[in-house]
Amino acid sequence: MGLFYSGNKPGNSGQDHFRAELQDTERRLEVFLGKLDERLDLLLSGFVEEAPAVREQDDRYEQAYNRFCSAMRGQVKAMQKKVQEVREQQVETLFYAYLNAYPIGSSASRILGDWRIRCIEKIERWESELRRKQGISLEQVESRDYEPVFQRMLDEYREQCAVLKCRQCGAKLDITQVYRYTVYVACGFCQTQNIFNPGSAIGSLEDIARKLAEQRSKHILIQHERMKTQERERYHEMHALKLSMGFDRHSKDNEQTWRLEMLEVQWMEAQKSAPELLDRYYRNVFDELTNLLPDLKEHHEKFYNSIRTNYFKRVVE
Amino acid sequence: MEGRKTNPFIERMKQRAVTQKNYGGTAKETTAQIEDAACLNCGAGRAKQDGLTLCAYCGHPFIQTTLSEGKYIKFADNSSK
Repeated sequence: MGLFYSGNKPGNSGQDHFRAELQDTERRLEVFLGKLDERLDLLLSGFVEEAPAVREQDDRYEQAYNRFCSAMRGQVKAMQKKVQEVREQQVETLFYAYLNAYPIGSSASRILGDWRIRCIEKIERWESELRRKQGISLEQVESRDYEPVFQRMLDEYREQCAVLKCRQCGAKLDITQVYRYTVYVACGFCQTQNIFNPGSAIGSLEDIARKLAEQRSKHILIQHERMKTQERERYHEMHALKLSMGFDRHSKDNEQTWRLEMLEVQWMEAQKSAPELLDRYYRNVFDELTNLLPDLKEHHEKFYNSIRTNYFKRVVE
Repeated sequence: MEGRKTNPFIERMKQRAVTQKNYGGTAKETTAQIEDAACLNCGAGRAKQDGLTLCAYCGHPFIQTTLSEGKYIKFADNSSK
């Protein structure tokens, strides 16, 4: 992209030149990240604006929409790569060029070390902000009410089934169950085995049902996320408070001791309820799924158990 | 500023996503429908209680092999001769 103007090549004549060069590189890094940030905002706002239109015109499989999302991800990845290149070619190269020029422990060496840490922190901050913005944009575009989508699918299926007749005797076939694959359906009058093909739309019913079940259980997931954040926050508060108290923390009647105890209670509570909420969330998702698709109950239970044994334990421990 | 006009870069990205052809062609849409495997010889339908391997009316073999015990198709689904 050529946004990072490299200017003069690094030299090593004198302390002033050394400092000026570090300052100059840091300043250019800031300008570079600022410009990239502008580009990122432009890309993401354009993506959020256009994605609904692409999705609207797309077919049921949403392949064009997925390609559009991938294109956005690719652009974001290219920016990340560019920043990594700048870090390696400009920041790290300059750091290693001066590393042996000054003895360890000297003020110049400390300045060099601090400068490198500052630059890396700037880059990492930028990257985490990039991930956050990308996540928000994707979530904004993805969010959709699945209730009517699911209902429309079922209604269409029932309408199509209502007109089906036996190929042998022409009697009306009584298809009440939701089939997602081709099955034999016996005619109630002549007992002929009719081959019933439920059509392509119903194939994605299970997928939509899962999204709908997750949408219905989202409030529990939000509670879980809140508890997880609370657990981390309380822990850090406790840590900071303990450090500030020093040896005072063993004294009984101290306001800080009292506050520490209160934080500990809240921390333990959050630590206990976060995994419980996650479990409740999954239980709720699969209960909702069984409500939506009752004939797949056994399959849902297997899925729930596999999440509990393979994924959930790892998260909790 | 161009007002609310779409950024040409985003527009190009969108066009490419929309016009690109899918691998394996366009997906076919089918509605729910009924087919049957009527007897090629006499046109009679196939009923489970008569057995699935032979036509119950004219004896025309639908399936040459003997069915084994499975989840949906059972050994009992073989027609008795």
